[in-house]
Amino acid sequence: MTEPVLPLQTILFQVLFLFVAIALEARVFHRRLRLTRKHSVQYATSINLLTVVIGWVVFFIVQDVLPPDLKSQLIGYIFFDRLFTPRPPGLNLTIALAGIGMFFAAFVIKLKGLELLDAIVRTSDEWQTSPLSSDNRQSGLVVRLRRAALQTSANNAMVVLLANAYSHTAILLLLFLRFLQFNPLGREII
Amino acid sequence: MKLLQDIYDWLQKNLRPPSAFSWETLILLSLFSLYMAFLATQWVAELLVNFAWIFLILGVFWGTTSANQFRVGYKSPVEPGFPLSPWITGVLVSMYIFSRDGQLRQETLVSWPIISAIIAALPDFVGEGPRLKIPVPQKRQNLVILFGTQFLLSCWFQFYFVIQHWLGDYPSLMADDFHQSAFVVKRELANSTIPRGALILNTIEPKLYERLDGKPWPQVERLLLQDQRVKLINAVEAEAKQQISPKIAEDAYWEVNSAISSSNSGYNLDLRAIWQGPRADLQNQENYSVGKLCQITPSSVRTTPAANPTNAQPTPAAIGNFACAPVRGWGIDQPSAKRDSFIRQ
Repeated sequence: MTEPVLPLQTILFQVLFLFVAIALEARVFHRRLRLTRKHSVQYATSINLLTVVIGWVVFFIVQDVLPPDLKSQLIGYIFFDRLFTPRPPGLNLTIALAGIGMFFAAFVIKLKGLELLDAIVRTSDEWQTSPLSSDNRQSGLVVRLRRAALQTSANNAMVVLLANAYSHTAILLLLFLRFLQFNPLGREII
Repeated sequence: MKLLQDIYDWLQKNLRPPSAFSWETLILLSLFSLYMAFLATQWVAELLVNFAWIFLILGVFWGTTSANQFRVGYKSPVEPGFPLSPWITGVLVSMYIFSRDGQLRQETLVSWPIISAIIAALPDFVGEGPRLKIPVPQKRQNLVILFGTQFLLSCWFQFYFVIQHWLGDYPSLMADDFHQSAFVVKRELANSTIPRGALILNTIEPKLYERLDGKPWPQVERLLLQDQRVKLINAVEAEAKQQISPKIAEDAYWEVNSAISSSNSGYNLDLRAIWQGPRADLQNQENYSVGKLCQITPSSVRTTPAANPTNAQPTPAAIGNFACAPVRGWGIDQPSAKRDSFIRQ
């Protein structure tokens, strides 16, 4: 039943993209949120891991419920890097919408993840002076978590949106370079 | 009872643990439980096997945690390095939970990193007493990253199994070329996959034989006319796909076509199963098909004329004769070097 097919490139690309995203986002957090370097890297690592894990879980659920014509296109893309013909109508639109959806889903997960993470890892003294919280009262873990879950500062949202845009742009650029490697300009693209 | 006493004496003499309170004691308890389980029956045996597992898990956890060899980068008690014991113990725990019957399952591998992370995190959740406690703030960041990486590892394992599942639904993909993939790599093995189209054509052959062989020649010729032939082929294709079991998702992407040409005395029927599904090379569709060449020739009657008393055909003596060659085409007679060359260009 088991075929000798391993998702090695998946793992390598994911590790590469995680490093790129963590490096870029940590830099944004360090400069815009005035977090220490160590904290920025730790926070960026945590929220990116959270995002990819949620992404995988969503992928596993979606591939299970996808209609057959879209599922076979997905399989063709993963095995051969091709969307085979004939294609179901509206495929390009579906892919574009999925891409936009993923970007904003990643943004929301990272924003809430960052604020919850800040509430979890800080002691109540540190929390009072944290650049991420607008709250300067002393409070216990549960209270901090509830506040982080319910409140979002506009500044945090802007910074996370910027960080997310940076990392997604960089990853898209890398994907585009890979696309060029296999489809040199001038050759007809199917 | 005498026997047990003897064994106990022997164990005490030869396998005596360094102290009663040590991990060796737990391993011995595990072996002892396993031995007792062999003697016991039904639920008692079941219970004892469970005890054996639990003692083994605790013993291995204790043993690997206390030994410095199981730490990556151990220098001194101040710099303890990275412990491997949770992952070693994790193997046993996930086997205990999911493959107690010795069969390795998807769940066993997928749950292993998560179970290991829980084991690695346990000491931070246990306070004095021992009571459950919330880990101290200094440890929380590391725990978040620990669980993040281990969940990601589980996702990768799960993805491997999803791919296996897909290949179960689309087995003919294994005959294709994976060089372009950004996600998966195929280990080249000696045994090559024969596309499922060959199976479909081989299932169609006897069905056509049933309909054409030994039938009066004019009837055969009528069936081979364009419209009738398309109907006939579609009918046997549907029958064949119904017959080959288990039915899989891939079947919907195989299309059977036919072409006819006349040969010296009869006809050549060229059956072709074409793969319309996911494929590496989109320009050369003809590379993704398997074919079967069948010959239909008239021959003189083998039955007595009395068997056909009401025959009004102009040539009552001739009947159809149907024979096919083996399947040829994609994944069967193409050397793989040739296939690579057109993909690589």
